[in-house]
Amino acid sequence: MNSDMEHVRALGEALKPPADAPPLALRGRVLAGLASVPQRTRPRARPWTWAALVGSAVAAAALVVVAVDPAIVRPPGQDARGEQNPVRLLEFAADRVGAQAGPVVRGDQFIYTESVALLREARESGQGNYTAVEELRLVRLWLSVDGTRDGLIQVRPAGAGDAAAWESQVIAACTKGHGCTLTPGQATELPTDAEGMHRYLYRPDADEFSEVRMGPDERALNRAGSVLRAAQQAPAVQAAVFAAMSRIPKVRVRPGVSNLVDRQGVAIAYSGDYTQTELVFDPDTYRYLGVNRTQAWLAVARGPETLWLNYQLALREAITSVAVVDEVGTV
Amino acid sequence: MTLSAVADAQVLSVSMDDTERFAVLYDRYAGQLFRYAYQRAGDQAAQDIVADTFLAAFQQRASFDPGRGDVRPWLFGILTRKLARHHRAEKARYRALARAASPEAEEGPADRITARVSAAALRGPLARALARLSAGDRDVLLLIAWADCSYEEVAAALDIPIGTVRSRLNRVRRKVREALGTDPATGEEEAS
Repeated sequence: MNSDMEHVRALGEALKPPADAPPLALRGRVLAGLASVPQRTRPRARPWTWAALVGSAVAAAALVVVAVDPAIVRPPGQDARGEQNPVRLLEFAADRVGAQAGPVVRGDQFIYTESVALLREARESGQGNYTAVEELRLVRLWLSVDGTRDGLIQVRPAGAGDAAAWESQVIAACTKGHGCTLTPGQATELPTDAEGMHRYLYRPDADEFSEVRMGPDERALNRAGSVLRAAQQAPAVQAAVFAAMSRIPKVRVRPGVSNLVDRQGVAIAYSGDYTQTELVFDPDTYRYLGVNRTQAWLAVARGPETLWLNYQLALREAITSVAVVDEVGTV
Repeated sequence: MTLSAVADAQVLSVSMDDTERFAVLYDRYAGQLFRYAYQRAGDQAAQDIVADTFLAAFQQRASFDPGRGDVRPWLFGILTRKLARHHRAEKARYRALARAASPEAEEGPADRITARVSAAALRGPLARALARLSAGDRDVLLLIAWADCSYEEVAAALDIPIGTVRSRLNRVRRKVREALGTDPATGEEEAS
């Protein structure tokens, strides 16, 4: 042993603990100590907000459209303008939209939607206080028609100019045997009848909006909006959604409601315990124009627990463009 | 940055929202940190130091910048600062070792006995030398010799330039050689 460093290392060997691993009790002590540290209390608004825009649209992306004639067929002499009864209005909308034909869409294509979204959220401003922040964003969304291909959502601040970078997030495909569970309506086809769509909207899984508190009727209505968003090229699916919505208790008709880009329409509205939602439609074609929603509760992580905090959050989204494209990223 | 460093940074990032994920870093690094703290300060102090280190790392995790280095030297840097609070206990440990160090007769092949006796005989002066070193010099020497840190990791842990690491190490090795009674000028440079 010649090197001075070797002597130092040898001394270190002589001084090392008898066991390689630290005492088991130390791990418990450390982890218990972490749990006692006051946590950053921050609303996880960003992760869920844009996902919430997509919502069950991801699951709803699997559409099979069989119609061939893109012409809109309107029964002559009928008009539901001024109709205040939600059931009658929605049944009328289902009949009208169901009589339309959509374009032929292949399973390997993507439904592309462009929208403008305004989010008002509470953000941590230190010392446990929260400040309301407002963001106006452009959103581009590509959803795989049959659900077996990766989709994409891109977001950037509105008014930032074309040179501004898009914040992108891949929407993972769900292929059988690859770590996700195929559910009815995913990678096959969405229901095209009222009963099936009703079951789909009220399905028990809580795979979405997990950070937003909602009752089953509220969730069903918000899922309806997401399906309509993704199914704009599938009139049969839209008709099923309208028919299923007519069975949601307490929905109201609210005429003269504007979406975020001031496009006026008729809204199917719901005021629940936790959210207030307006799904806005063109009063003539019943094309889905967007959503206005406020929600009063937000999940916040505090250590291993989830706390529900009372925040007034608002989300408004206006659909501005819909198309069928062959590749993700194609506009 | 290595893949494991990227993974560490991701764990830290995820732990901002999911506290339990921080346990992954504990399981990955607690053994190395505890061994090093134990060598320097003994069992009970080591447990306190490691616990304080992870608590501080958890509280500071938002400020960790992956661009400035890996998690391992970051943790050793925190631990070194926690060790400083136990400097009296550490020096007392070296002095006690120096007093206790005395070669004992062993049976066995002559060469092995000679080597063991020689090494044991040098522990006393070496321990006394460690006790006399400045904290900064001792940190550099022992992070390299006992924690297997590279020069770059030591620089990151102590937040000093790598040139300072080299100059401190050269200085402290001269002192060690003097303490061991070898020619201070004969020490060879070790690869980082």
